[in-house]
Amino acid sequence: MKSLAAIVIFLVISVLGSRLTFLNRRLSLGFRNILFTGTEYIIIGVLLGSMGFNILDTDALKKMEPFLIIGLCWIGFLFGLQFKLRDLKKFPVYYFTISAFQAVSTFLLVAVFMFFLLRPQGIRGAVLMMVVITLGSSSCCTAQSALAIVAQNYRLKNRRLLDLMRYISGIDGFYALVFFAVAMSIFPRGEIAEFNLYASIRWLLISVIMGIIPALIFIALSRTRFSRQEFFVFIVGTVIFCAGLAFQVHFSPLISGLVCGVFTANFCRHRLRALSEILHSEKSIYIILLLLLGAGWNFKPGYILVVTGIYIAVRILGKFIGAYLGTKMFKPGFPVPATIGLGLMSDGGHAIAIIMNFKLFFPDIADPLISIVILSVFFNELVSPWFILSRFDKNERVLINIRRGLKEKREQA
Amino acid sequence: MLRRFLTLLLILSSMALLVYADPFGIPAAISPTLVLGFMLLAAYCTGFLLEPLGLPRITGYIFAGLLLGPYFLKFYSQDAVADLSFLNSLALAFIAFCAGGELKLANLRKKLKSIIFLICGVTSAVFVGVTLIVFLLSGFIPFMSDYNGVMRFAISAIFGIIAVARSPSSAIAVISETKAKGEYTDIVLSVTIAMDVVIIIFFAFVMSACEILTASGSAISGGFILNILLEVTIAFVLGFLLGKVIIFLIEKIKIEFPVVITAMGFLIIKFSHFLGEYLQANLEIHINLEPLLICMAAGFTVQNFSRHGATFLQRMDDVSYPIYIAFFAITGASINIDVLKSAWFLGLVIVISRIMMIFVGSYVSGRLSGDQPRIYKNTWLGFITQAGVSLGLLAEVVRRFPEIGIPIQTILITAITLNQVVGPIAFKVALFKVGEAKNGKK
Repeated sequence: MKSLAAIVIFLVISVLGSRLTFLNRRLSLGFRNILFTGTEYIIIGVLLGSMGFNILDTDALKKMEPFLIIGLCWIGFLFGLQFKLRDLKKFPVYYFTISAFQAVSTFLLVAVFMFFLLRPQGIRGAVLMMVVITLGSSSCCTAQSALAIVAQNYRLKNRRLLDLMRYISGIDGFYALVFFAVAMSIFPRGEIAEFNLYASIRWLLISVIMGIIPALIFIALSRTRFSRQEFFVFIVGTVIFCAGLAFQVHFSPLISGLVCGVFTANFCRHRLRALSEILHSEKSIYIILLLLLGAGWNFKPGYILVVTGIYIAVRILGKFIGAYLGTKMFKPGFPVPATIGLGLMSDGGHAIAIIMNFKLFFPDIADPLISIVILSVFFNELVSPWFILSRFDKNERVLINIRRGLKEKREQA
Repeated sequence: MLRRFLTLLLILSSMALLVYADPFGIPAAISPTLVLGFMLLAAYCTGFLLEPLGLPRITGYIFAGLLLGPYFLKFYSQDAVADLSFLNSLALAFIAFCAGGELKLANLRKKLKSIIFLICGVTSAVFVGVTLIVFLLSGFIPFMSDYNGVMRFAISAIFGIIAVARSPSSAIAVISETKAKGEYTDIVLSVTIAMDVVIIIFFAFVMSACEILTASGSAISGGFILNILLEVTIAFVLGFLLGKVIIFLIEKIKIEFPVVITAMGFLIIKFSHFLGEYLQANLEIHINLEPLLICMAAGFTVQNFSRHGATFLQRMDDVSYPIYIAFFAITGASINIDVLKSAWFLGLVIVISRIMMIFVGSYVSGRLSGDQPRIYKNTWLGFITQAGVSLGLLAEVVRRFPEIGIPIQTILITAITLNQVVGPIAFKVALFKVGEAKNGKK
């Protein structure tokens, strides 16, 4: 009965939530920062999980595992579909370089600091490497929620700066997923064993092929005439097949979905159609991930709070240094503040997907990592909009007064 | 065509590589997620490839499920198929909503005479005919020959009642595939769906009568009849309320997600089973709510008591395709070849006698109700398929008569399997014959 309750709860919250949340409501900015970015679902998940009312116990969560696998692959596929090389080439080169600089520097700094912080905790060798690379990869991606909140509520004169920040936050998840793929390849069988470099490289290559096969199937299917319903079958079938293939060989459904998406984006002429179909369910799937994350969270305060504090601080430092160096070396043709990296603090989305994926294969060692990422998400979602706004001069930003705007519109009409 | 064939080859070879070659050295069983994805894609391609032969796509899906499954290519085991059985509940709920939604009062009123005649005529012809044929043959059926005449008759009646059941899911799938519209389509669909309600009530009566005849149960009493009526009434009331909830969701919250509705149906199924078991165990109240009836009543409510009927069906139709593919592929994968081998002859006898009785019943009722000859000469072709409901009723037979249930189940599963293969083809042929199919190849 509990698994039934789990399904009901997940369903109702995710569907109603996808309608209510993610910027669809207009509250004062303070509320909006934390309430309608999606982070509230982590709290709901916590209340439902073992730390709360225990409605969603371990068994119920285990039964949700297939949804999690498919959901992760769905997210990877959706993200990958946006990487059409021909379209990406239209952007200036410095967009890529600044993005790469801030992602790599954040990854390196966080990974190095975490290495020295977690080592005294008894984590050693390849396990430590996997953990620090995973944390590094989750730290280097930027969520778009805070940028979207700011853009929705302020008319900003320096649009190009906002576009640059949006671009960076849109693309740096790719670097994060590449780093995460490396982390997952350390123990290719999904269980902790002796590290073997050859096996890891072989695994990575085969895993890429595992992502390409479903993409090839999708491309082949969509090359003949088909109805709308048939196209829906192609997408659903491809994603489930890709997720199943990945999980079967103990590889990340998230990465497989990404590879499948990138391949599809570049070789399928129905990319945009697929993108629009798959976007319909994005919010619901994201909410399910947040609920699962919250419900499965097993927080034990102590040393982990110190590690989290340092993680957040180093992440900010990494973003700041990387973006600063990037903008200095590859100068954009418009005014960019030296502290642009501070506008890229928003956390969530891919970081959560990465950590959920990690938990799928290594549940025994995932708890501290989940705590770090959840606390970091809370902190960053709260302060990000303010940090973003601070990158713009005061006279460059105008708070949009919705009522006045509507009144003006009516008068004009 | 060639591209679909090559795609199917690609799907099969990648799966074969994983299952047979095992390049990763992982001995684990194939995960249900992978089986589902594989089934969806492979069954779709098979259905598409068999279409030029004039076969309905659902026959292709069933065939793919069977061919790729535990008895032939062994891409997945019986356990993996069993793990996916929850999808059957999901799909059945979805199909029940669609079936209820397809029943439009206005159309029913127009054809009420034909529908009532067909329901009465076909039900009585099939039930009486199959019961008598099995009873006459019972001396040659190994597990029946040892019993006395009364017992044999009771067992024959069980064969008869299961033979009456139809498959709304197959009918809807074939109609959806051929985009058929017209008088014939309306009559066949309305009768098939209405029969689902009738069969549940009729089944309950026959089973209780059999319990008395086999002296293993209680006697027929006013209380028993009242109980059945109560179950049906509660199911209709709950269905009506559920329909109102769906209307509210569509109207007020603007949620038209079929996935929500399907999940609601899934929950109704689970809740009905849970409630029945709970009442029996704790309060000794014997009430078995029929969940499919609830879902059908809900779909019927949305269609006939709101202005969202068309939107509801459209939204359901948008996502119906993967659900149908998965449902029929899983059905195909669940076919037990060992059972088929052991009881094919008796199964075939039942199939032939059932088809004959369906023909007689529908022909006579059609003529009596004044239908056009092109309709009453072809309605029997639309009533052959059997699927989920029949299997569900069979499970109930096994539960109530553990001793004789298993051999009955073996023979009837064979018959249902044969009907599943023949039925959709016959219905598609009929739709083209009467000129109401608009899509696909004859």
